[in-house]
Amino acid sequence: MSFSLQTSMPVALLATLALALASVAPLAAAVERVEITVEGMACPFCAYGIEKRLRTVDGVGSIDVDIEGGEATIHAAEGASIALGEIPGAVRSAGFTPGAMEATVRGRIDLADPNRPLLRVSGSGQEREQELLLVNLSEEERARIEELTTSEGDTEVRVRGAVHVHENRPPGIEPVAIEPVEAAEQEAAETES
Amino acid sequence: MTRRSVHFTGALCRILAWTAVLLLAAGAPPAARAAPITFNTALAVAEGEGIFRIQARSFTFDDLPAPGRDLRVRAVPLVGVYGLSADWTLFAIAPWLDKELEVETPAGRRTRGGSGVGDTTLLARWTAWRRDAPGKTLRVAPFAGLELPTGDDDATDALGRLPQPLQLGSGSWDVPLGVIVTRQTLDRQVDGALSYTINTEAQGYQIGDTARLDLSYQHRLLPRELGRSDEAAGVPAFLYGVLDSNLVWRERDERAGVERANTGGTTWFLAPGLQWVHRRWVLEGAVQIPVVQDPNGAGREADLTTTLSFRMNF
Repeated sequence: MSFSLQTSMPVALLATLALALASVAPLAAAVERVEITVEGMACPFCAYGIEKRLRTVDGVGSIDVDIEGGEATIHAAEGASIALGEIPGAVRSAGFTPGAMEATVRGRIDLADPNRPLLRVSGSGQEREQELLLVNLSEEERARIEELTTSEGDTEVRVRGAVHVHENRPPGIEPVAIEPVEAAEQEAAETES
Repeated sequence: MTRRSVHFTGALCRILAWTAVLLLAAGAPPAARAAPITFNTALAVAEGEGIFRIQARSFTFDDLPAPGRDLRVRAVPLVGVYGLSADWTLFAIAPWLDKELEVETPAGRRTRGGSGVGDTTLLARWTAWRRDAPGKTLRVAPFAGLELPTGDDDATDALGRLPQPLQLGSGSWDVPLGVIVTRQTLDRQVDGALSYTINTEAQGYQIGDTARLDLSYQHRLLPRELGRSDEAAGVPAFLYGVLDSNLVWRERDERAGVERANTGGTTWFLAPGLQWVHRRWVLEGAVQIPVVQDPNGAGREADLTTTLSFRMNF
């Protein structure tokens, strides 16, 4: 069996194209969703101002405002990651006071420094990778993280937790839930069915 | 003490005295959660946000000093608002006016008046202090501005120069200033404003300075409860019942430095209304009723004023 040049060239081109597509994978790690309490917001006409300022934050897709709960829920645009650090400033420039913030973030855990566990989140567009400090970890959570980063390799995880924005440090996230992405997506699929 | 400061102090004392009367009559403010229809609020305008407001106002003055005279005014103030920053808001108010006076003359009943743009007011408001909490806010915002003589102040007709009340503009550069306090919750809102306008002289005529104490209470009528149904979740439209109170004191006008006896005085208005508030727009209406009138000398008394207003943000 032999391959002529005419047969192998298209195959090689297809293989090259496949490799190129594989290397430009769609953005996976991301700040996917943020919920923030907006203090001072108490009427429908005020909600528009909040939405207008939050739309200026990088990576924002859609925004849902709940007047009674005093909250704004921000969803990332497709393929984008919400710039977490910009959100409190956007609320202030709308004329209100930012309160507690909770985020759902998909990223990879970095335990290079065991005293400074990080969640690495790819940036979107021109933005570089975001780092979030994993803070106030319980013994259980720490063990879970170590398990995820050793036994299952470089696993992508989805972390949901309270966000702490710092002045000169990366923002921190205090987890309430840490799940490997595969398991979380399976659970979501079962819930939908 | 200068003559102006004596007048201001006297006006302030009268306003404070009337404030005590009003508060006793109305009872203590409700504990607590729109905006007033007849004056400004201290609520936030986001940085970069714009609001456009158009009002239609119609009022008459009956029982003028001279018999057989009726003055009718229709005004359409156009208001542009811009959020310069979270704390600074700019306002521009340009009214279109239509004034009409019916008089008896030897030649029969005549109509005098005119229509066009009146004096334009530019204001800046600053949120000096605030306390925000989930679903509520308390704010204090002083403001100051300048009223520009953009209206015609020397209009004439076949009978000669129109009297000052019929002129579209004052011809003078005037200074409004004051402070607004707003307390808003999800259920109700209370606003209070104290303001003073310094009027200067033009063409030998000076309209009297004006002091105002404005109060407003807005109560959410609909939805009755928030979050209980799909319609009441998220950002539903609110229907407010509104009651504005306007206490206005005006100094006597002066012509060539001499006070005009039948000008100025004190009037207390109550203005009940409704306000339908959506995320992008507000539709509201009120009827301003002169409850107590104390014009100087044989000065004119105000009749009902009807106001219809539409606001939109962008």
